[in-house]
Amino acid sequence: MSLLVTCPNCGPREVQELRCAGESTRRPQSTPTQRELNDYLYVRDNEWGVHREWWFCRVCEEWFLAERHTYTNEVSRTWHPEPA
Amino acid sequence: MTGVLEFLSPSLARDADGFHPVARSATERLFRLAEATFAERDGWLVATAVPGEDEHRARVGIADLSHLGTLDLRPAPTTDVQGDGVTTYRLSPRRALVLYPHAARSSVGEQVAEGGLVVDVTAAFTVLALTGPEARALVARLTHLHHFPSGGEVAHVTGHVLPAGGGYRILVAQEHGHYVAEVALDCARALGGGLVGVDALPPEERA
Amino acid sequence: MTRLDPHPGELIDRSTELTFTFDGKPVGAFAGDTIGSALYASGRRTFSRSFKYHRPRGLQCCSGHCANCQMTVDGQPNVRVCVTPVREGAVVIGQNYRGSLDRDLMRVTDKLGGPFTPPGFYYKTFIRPRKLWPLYEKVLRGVAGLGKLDPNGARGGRVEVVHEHAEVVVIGGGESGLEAAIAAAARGDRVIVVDEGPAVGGALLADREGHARAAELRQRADEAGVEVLAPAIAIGLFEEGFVPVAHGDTLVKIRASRVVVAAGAMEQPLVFPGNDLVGVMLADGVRRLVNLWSIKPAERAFVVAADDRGLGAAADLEAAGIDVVGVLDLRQGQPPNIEARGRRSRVEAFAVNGQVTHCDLVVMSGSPQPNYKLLAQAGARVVYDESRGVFVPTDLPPNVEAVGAAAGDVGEPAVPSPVLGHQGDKCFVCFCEDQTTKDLKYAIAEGFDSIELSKRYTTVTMGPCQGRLCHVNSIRVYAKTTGLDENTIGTTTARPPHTPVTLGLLAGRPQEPVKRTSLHHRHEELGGTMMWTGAWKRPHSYGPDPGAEAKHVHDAVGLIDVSTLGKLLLTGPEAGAFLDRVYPNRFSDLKVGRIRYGVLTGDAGRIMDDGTVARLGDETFYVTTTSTGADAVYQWFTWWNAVWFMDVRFVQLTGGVSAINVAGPKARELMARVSADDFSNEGIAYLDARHVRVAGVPCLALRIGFVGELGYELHFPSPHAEHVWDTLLEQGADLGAAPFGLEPQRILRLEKGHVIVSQDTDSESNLLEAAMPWIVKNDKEFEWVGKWATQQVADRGLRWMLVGFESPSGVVPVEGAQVVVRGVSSGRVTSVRHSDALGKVIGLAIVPSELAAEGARFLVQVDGRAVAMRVHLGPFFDPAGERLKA
Repeated sequence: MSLLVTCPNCGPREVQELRCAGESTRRPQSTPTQRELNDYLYVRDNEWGVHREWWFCRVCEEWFLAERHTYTNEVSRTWHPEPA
Repeated sequence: MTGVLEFLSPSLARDADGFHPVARSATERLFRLAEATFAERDGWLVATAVPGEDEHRARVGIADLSHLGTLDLRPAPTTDVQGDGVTTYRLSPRRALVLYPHAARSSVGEQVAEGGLVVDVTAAFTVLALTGPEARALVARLTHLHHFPSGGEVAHVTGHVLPAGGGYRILVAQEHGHYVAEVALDCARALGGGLVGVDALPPEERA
Repeated sequence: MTRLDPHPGELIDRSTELTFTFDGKPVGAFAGDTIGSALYASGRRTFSRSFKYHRPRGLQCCSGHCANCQMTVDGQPNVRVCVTPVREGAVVIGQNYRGSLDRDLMRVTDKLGGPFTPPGFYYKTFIRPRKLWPLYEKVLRGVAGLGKLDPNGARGGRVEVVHEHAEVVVIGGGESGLEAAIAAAARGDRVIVVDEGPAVGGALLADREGHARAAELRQRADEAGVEVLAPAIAIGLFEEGFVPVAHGDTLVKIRASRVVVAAGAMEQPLVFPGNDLVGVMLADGVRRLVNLWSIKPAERAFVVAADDRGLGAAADLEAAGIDVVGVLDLRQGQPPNIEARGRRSRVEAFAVNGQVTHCDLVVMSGSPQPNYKLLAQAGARVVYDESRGVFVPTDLPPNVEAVGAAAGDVGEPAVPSPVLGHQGDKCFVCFCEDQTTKDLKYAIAEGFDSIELSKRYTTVTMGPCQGRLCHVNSIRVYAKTTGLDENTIGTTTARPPHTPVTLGLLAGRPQEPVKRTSLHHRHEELGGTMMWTGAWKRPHSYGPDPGAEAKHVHDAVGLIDVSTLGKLLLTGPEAGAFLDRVYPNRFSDLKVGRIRYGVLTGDAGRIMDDGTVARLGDETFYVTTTSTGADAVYQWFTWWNAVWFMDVRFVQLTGGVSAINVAGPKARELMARVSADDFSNEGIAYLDARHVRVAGVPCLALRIGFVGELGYELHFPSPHAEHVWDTLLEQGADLGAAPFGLEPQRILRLEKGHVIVSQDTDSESNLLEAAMPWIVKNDKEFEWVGKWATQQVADRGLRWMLVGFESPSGVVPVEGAQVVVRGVSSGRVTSVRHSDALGKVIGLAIVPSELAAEGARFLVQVDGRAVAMRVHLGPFFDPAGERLKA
């Protein structure tokens, strides 16, 4: 693929230098029911549009978040997560 | 803390109990096939000369500099580490690699002592030096990287390319060292180049 | 001979003569000729046989776009000889015929085929009887096709792959492209021009007077520092300015900030009866023959065209002394009925509304169509401009622009387009695939009336020209037949490659990354059979008897290279707390200098990886992982911490640290010979981690027991691996020290009942049903990763269990063999081996949980029979672990 994604450390990287780990999710805060656990593990919003996803950069070996339009593939923003 | 990480440092091997340890590079077999001359330097077996190296480096020469010391610093130091032949390569504000020749090891050790986590990753990398007028052309055959220093896909694996004098240095994980050296040599030969010993490198590109 | 007098723009160098062979006979040529021009000059008119009907075809475009001149050159099939420079001694043969190129026996398909070979006939015929399909396939492959490729042929030639970066890449080195390149270079940009011709100039080169302007532009470009790749093909136009280019045997991968598409326009054929006869050519094709190679194409020519440029061919022909016997300007009045007539497939006359003129060349030209394909690939839309009768690209992506004819600047052709003069048979729309207007109408009548469906059904545009000479005409046929307008019909999706490219070029240099341990060459030298484990090479065994290799470890001492294990350093005040969150068991209470086994699960409670954790200091832990899991576990840990922000850092040590496991009753004796450190049971107890010095090399010794014998796993810097290994083998020679590989290791660990993750577990396995309930510590404060799912398994009750078993009959089932309970598949064998030390067949299997009792029997399918196995819980060898803890 010719897509370039900008790692906040390394700058624009070819996509095979990174690993996309999929849609960002929210982990249950307390013991979930079976249904809640299932949703967390397997159900994704899968938006047509801009969604938030995790990327790993194999060069600097750090994780970052990206906002990418799932149809146009345009990556509008990449950033390192901050503590809550 | 450094004490518990001694088992990472090749430089801490020494003559003991009648044994004489010598450290070797992952590319050694390729240099042996090219009938290189080896010498023991600072505890490492180094390929110092290769037959035909004068013709090779007139196009592009590849030498092995895996015996360069390499430290992984976390966080990255605020200023570059000083010294002759010492290179500070920043991966992020949180991490840097420092490459240094054996002669600079004490000075480098002192400079990084208070900085944070220091891990000796000399053993983790194979370092190849590219020298000669076609060195840039060889880089273009191995990777899309074109601003240096930077890291990315080199010969289909993760690697880093650093400028060194008029040439370049390629750092890859040592388990890929033989493979990447093989690929680089294949491309170098197509450009009329080949392997060279470390002594054939211009002084500013040597370790 | 058909050469014209020399003139300034010709490419041939008449002072240099070359010879090549065609069909075994020598053909003369000049330097600067192409194989095609030389063959034409020698009198050849039939260059190929068409795909389906095997009709003879002659030169048509002379610019490498149609399929008519494809021949096999020096063994390479489908070479367009009209643009391939002559090589001394080249061996050229025709393709796709039986008999000879001039007398193809397969022509029968044209005479008889017609009604039996409409579009898609192969979907309706050759179905029954099914068992004859291999024969049908053979017949069909033999009848239709292009060139032949030797399936066992060695891959010839070397391909280089080169990466380039430029501010601007210009695709197309004609007038507009060169002007754009010169302007960009003047601004200081690095500019690369990619052109498919042997020299830049594009359409100018076909003009009698154009060569001077082309030379002037070339010089200005050189002076401006523009770099030219020619002949070179832009394979596609991808995201972020990525343009891969086929340049001879080099694949040039260009990344540009701006892409300028100056790909020009393609002169379209007219569609009328007889338009594929040998001697019917496109106007620019004729002009190239005359102006580039100084060839007299015929005696008497009839010119029929729809724009000024096409009609201009008449002037070029007259200037070359050819008799132009008729000129038809299709812009004047009502489009007449036109027809080319021939004898033995060679044109001999042209009829206009029935009035016949004898000629041996028909020069045809329809409206030129902008070459929009690369732009469409890049995401541009294509709309039909009715005022000019052409499709033009619009809505270009940012950083991509179109200039010149490619953008729609095509002068003023006839409108509405008169390309169709269609009363009669054999009006070819798609020359590559032998599809006529009748075929297209037939397909529409059958219901394939959407352009995308019909393309796939009729295969129009799917041949070598990839729609350059047929797509727009096929849309015009559709418009006329269905009454829909061109914009409603639309165009088919454009996909790369824009021009056919060999797979060999796309494959580039063969490079298969291999991970080698620092002992790799020692293993080979010792006779190890190397095998793949993920991306690593490891030795399977060192001799013909892995069983004996394993038993030797029980009898004496063996060495195994376990450098491929993942090794991670975790350091920081919260390192222990972090491990407590990601592992089911506890590590924060592990004492310094001690080791504990750990299994990683995800939040789904499924087993991901396993390994050991050694505490080296209050804030320092050394974690090992499976060989193929190193990167995954590092990413797993760092991802969780990207969320938790605990005070801990992670360092990958996998490659820098090599590891050798020294195992067997004589292991301690061997270690005493290579180290002055205390390896007694007090000095290093079972599950201790100690810093030692072995053969002068600083080492971390982990006393663990994967292979069930007294053993020490030595971790040390990789550059010293051969030294440590050699020293151990030398010093242990009289003790019987010998290497053992992965296969003996499998036997040894199976004797102890040890689980191998992803051998005995899969993506569904959980801790409880993999017989590891003891590892689950639910009294930890944090909800460790996998706790909820594991609890849910406990709540619903266990259904399966991983158990050890013996095969009393001695039959060895295969790994994966089904466990059968009351006729129902109920589990499987995950590992099985014969153990020399125990003298029996042992294994691990997943069985229904009610069978997980010592001595219980279950049946396993082996070669169609049900064979009984007997459950054995716990280790098979040394169950009390006496040898391990000696």
